[in-house]
Amino acid sequence: MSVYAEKWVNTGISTDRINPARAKEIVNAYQREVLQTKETPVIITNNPIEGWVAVVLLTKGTAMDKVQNEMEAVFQNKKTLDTLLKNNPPVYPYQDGSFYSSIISFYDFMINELGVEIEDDLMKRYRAWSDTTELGLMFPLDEVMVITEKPLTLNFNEEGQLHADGKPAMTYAGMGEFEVYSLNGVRVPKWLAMANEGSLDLSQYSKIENADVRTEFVRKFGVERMMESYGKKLDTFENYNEEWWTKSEYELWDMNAIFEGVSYAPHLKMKNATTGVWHVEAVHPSCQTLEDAIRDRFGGRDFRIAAIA
Amino acid sequence: MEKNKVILHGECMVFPSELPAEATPMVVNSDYLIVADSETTGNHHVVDAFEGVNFFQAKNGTVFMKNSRPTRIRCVMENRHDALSLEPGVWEFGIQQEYDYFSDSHRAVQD
Repeated sequence: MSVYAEKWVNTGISTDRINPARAKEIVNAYQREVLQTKETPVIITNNPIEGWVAVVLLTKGTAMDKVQNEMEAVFQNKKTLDTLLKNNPPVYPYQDGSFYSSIISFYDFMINELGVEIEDDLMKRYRAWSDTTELGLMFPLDEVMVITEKPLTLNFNEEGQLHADGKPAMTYAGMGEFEVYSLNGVRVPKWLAMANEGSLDLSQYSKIENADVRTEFVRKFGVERMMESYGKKLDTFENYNEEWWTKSEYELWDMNAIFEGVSYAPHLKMKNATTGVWHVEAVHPSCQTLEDAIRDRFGGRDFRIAAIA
Repeated sequence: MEKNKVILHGECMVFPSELPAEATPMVVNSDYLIVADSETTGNHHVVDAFEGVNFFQAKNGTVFMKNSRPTRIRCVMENRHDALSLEPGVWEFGIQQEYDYFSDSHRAVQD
């Protein structure tokens, strides 16, 4: 099983460039065996934005041999690009090449290891489908198949989560600066991924709306530095005999220093019971104790925590 | 008085409840139901759905579950939150709240 997992993970995260001749062979086989449509030329674009712009231009009548020049003209003018994308919101294709590896891995294992037998005709179709994992996204149009290259770079942390500190976690070649910023598998804004911990400003923390992104901010900023330097501890799990408050190391801190014009801003500090990562989240200013804060988290309900994960 | 219990799975709260008379059955076309979605990681909180596990929705959108067999609340990628068992009963799902000091209001925690 692990051999198959490794094989298909590697296919899924492959950054190999596409060979045009091989791409045409795969696309035409896919059209013939799976889509059961006619074989068409193939246009290879560098990234998903380029791919989508090409699709829009082609469906609006641009000739195939003019697409590359037209595409470059669109990308040279940001306003033109923004308008095109606004008027034609990108659609994610149902066949997404290497990103489909997880699905194909299931069939690969069943056929090769568990002896699942399928008819020759179906096997031919399966092979044509399976081979599309060598490509990027696929946009099938009537007269042409637009495909995209796979990512140019991909970075992961030790747990295999998309991650890069100080640079994009994922980049594509080509126009449009297609970059993805991610810390420990959480998609974060560019400023957070690129900043070094010393340049992070705590006022930025309070403006982040997403709890996972806030957690990545805390992780990068340092929870001790954040709480000890800018906060004041108000209450702690040590004052109570509550099993899950202790396991999660609940504490209540006043973090008013991160808000302008706010004299009291209680925040609950807690540890993720599964990962050990710290979370710091705001509660209502009426909260004076942990009991108040936890009740506030529950929408005013008085619950006893029976389990946390 | 003994407090009602709650199980916390990330920002998701699950607690014993009663099924409102006006709640209507939900059609689940998958082997799980997403009870809290994740926009940044895709690591939704889900409850395994199979025979004996039925979901309902109240008019205000609150989701309930009536299960005659144990099921689990888990994450799509289980490395972020361990799976927890939900014993037979009637359960209500909710999202923990946080306070926004800019808008001076509560909001559901989003991840």
